[in-house]
Amino acid sequence: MATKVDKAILTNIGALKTKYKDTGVAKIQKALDALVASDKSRGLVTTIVALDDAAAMRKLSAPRVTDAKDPEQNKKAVDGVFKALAPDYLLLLGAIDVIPHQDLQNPMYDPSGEDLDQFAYGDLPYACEAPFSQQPQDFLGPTRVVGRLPDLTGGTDPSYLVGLLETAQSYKTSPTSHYLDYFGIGAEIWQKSTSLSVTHVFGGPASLNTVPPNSDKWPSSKLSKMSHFINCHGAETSAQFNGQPSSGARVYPVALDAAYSDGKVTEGTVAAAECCYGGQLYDPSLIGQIGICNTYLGNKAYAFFASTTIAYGPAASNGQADLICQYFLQSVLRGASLGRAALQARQNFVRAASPPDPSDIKTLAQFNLYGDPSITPVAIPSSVAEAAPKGLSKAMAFVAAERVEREDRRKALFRFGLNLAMTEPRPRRTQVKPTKSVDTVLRNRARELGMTPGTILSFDVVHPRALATALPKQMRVRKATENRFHVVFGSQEKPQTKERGSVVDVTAMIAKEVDGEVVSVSKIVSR
Amino acid sequence: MEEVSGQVVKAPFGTGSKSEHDAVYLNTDKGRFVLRRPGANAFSDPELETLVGKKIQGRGKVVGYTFFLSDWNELTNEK
Repeated sequence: MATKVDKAILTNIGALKTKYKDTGVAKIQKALDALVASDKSRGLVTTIVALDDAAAMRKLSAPRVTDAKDPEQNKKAVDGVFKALAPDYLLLLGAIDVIPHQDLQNPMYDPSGEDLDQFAYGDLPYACEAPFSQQPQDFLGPTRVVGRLPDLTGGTDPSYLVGLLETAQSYKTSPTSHYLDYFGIGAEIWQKSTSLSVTHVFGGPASLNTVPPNSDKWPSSKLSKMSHFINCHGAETSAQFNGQPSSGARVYPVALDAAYSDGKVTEGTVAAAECCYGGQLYDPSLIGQIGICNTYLGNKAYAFFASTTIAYGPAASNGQADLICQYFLQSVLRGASLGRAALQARQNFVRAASPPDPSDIKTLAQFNLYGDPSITPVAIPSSVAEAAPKGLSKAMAFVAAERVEREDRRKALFRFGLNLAMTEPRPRRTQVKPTKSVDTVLRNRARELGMTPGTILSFDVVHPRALATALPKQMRVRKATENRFHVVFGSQEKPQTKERGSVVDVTAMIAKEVDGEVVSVSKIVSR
Repeated sequence: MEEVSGQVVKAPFGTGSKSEHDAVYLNTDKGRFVLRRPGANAFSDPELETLVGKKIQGRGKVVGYTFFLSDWNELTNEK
């Protein structure tokens, strides 16, 4: 019998005890034991590792966490556990006051007011072999299957987390048809983009609803669908997502409300939300209401895939947040576990974005899977068991064969991730300003796009050394500074109308410079 | 509960992002904060709109770059 650990549940017992005391942790432990037993019946060997347990970590030759809030300690501890056990699934148990998100520096950060996120918080580094760093560019090669089951940040009642563990323990797979019947919500102003997204994932936009004209008072018949795709505005520490009319008017009706949705979301729901802060695990006591992500999970949703910070995407086409959410749901519908779907979404996103611009880097860093990564929502017929050796029951043969298949898949994903890490060029912020001629072109192109150019951020594109020497001479970059990205923030005056008054629309333009020439520009328009 | 005073202004936020809007800010000695009221629409709060252009002393909680305003009083502009 194989003893390799398939799934490692990582937590911080000291941090949980601070929140829930010994009695609360005992309840969580009981629910964890039930999950481990349930996993065993599904053929998974699951172990629980407390990152702050000196003896347990010593046994794994991994450094322990002495300060639960320290991202570097947590990254090193998770890396140590992964190195020792190489589990197929890593489940981070707890919110950011149990195991913190990694505080990756946001390449789009602009304190003048354009992008106020100093950090693009996330779990991406836990999914990568690269050592601790705050540079998100160092984590372009994810290799590990990682998900997080978050309790309530600042919580004191363990019942929420116990509920999440019970959902994971009793999960059921369903036919693909259950998840193809989706519920889509989009701000009306982004209807074109959202229609493309849901068509790419589900085959058509028939179940897409825009706000306005709809409001957040969705009937249960819609909220109870098992796939949700949400492309709306979102705000920091907010329990609502918001719409916006296609006219561009600066009105933002509520599109989804955590309090209203509570009790209406179906068990097994898988949601992807492009919204800014859709996956921010804020302390509910700040505004007296838990967030939409926590609400969905508390209603027994299997997954919520979302962003911790300000997210980007074009208005009428697809990019950034649209793509990573699409890739996640596409993998789920093809029968991947939630964690594999998240890993494939990250890998496919890096490959599609190559070379990633600063907004792509932020997107990769900020989107996270909230849910047990080993849950496989969609059942895909498999012929694995039919080819199993004689002497094993059909069920046991299937479990054994599936384990081998999964290990092969993990190795392939690991190789792909390593390849991305070794070969992907990455943007690095530079204080070297664009040359006068490039600056003039950037500002002119911005004006041609109807923008009044403002702050410009510049980035060198750095190619990994190994790749540089492997490339044919004509494909090599001779100097690191020959390729650059520039992010031009700007504003756009719209004509005054009766209903809108004087409206300022703000946009950003991303320009690519090669050999001193601006060769392409793309506009990330208002969301 | 923290007390912060400053000038209320309206300015763009989250350029080119999915939370882009004209936000209400409080410009203070400690920096600029996005003003919000707990429970109110995060993107357009008519109550906060009435403060634009005024100097206020606000009481509430600072979370990141956001100041959640629970109570305030207007300050007389210095001549």
